[in-house]
Amino acid sequence: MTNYKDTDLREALRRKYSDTPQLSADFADRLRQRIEEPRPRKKGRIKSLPFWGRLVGAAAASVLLLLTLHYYNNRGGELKEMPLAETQTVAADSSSNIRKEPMPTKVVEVPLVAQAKPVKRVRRTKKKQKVEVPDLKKDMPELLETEEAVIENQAQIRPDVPDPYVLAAIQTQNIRSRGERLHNEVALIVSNQ
Amino acid sequence: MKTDQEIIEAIKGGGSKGQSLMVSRYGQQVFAMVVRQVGDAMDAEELTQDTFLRAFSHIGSYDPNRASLGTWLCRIAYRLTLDFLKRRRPQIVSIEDTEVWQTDIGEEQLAAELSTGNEERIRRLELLMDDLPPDDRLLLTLYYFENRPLDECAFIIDATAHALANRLYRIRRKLFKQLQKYDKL
Repeated sequence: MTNYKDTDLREALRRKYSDTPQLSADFADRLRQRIEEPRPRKKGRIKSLPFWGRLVGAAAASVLLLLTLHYYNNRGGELKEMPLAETQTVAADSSSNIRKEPMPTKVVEVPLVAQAKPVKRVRRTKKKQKVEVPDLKKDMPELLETEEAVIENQAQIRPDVPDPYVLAAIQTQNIRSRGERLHNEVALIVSNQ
Repeated sequence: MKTDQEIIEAIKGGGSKGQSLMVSRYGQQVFAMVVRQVGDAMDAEELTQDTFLRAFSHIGSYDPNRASLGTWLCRIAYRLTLDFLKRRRPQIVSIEDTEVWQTDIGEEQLAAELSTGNEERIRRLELLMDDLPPDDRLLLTLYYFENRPLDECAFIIDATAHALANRLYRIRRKLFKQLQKYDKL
């Protein structure tokens, strides 16, 4: 068997560990105390479920998931209808606004080709011209007739929800009337100049 | 004066007298081995207590044909001490551990280099002990300081005598390289 002498190494170790401390006198008593003291109880591990338990758990979870999905699918169908109702309500509100808007006052023919004229400043002190308000029933009877008829029909079908086609027609008419009003105002300004 | 076998039988019988006898006979030996590695006496006493507690609870696994009672206790203490040291500080791998040895040193040359009687070298070796990993230092202590035979060291460390001889050679070579480095400075 190998027997290393290595006297330098032995001497170094002897010097290093020459003053090894002694075990304290009450060591045996403290050890006795540790032996006699009750051991802390180990925390009980959570036992894992047996195979059948896991199987039942998985099945229950699947059923729960399916039921949840089914419930939300049905509810989703109801929800799909809701935006339409909301849209109609908003449209109904907007239709009330449309009816309140003032109608065009005067129809003025504007030349297709505008002549270049030096621009004059409009005096602020100039008196405002009175604008004649035309009689709507007289000037545009077909428009009023159409609107009223549509609204009456729609009210007969379902008073709380207006027909979207009617609303579209009203909006189209409104846009047209706005355009005409704008056209008139521009023509009025041009003629004043 | 009771023999080790009688002490073991007394402990197996459940009496506290056997335990006290074991502690009084081997307490200092185990403590000395532990304190040399740990440094702090309080920690060493705690580890010595743990060693005896484990020995009392595992007394049935002791085989007198494999090692003496004292060696068996040192084996328990060795494991507990190494675990403690690993918990206390991370393993420091010195550069020399990863270095590739370019020149192989013969056993005779190595033995001669470590047996010069040079005072300076002895002091340097004493300092170099602190840089060794705990398990290497413990092996040197068991072999060179406590003068235990290699078979006994192998039982304590739980390795074969042949593997331990190789390990001792590597540690000695490492120390020699360090000494050479100092000599060049």
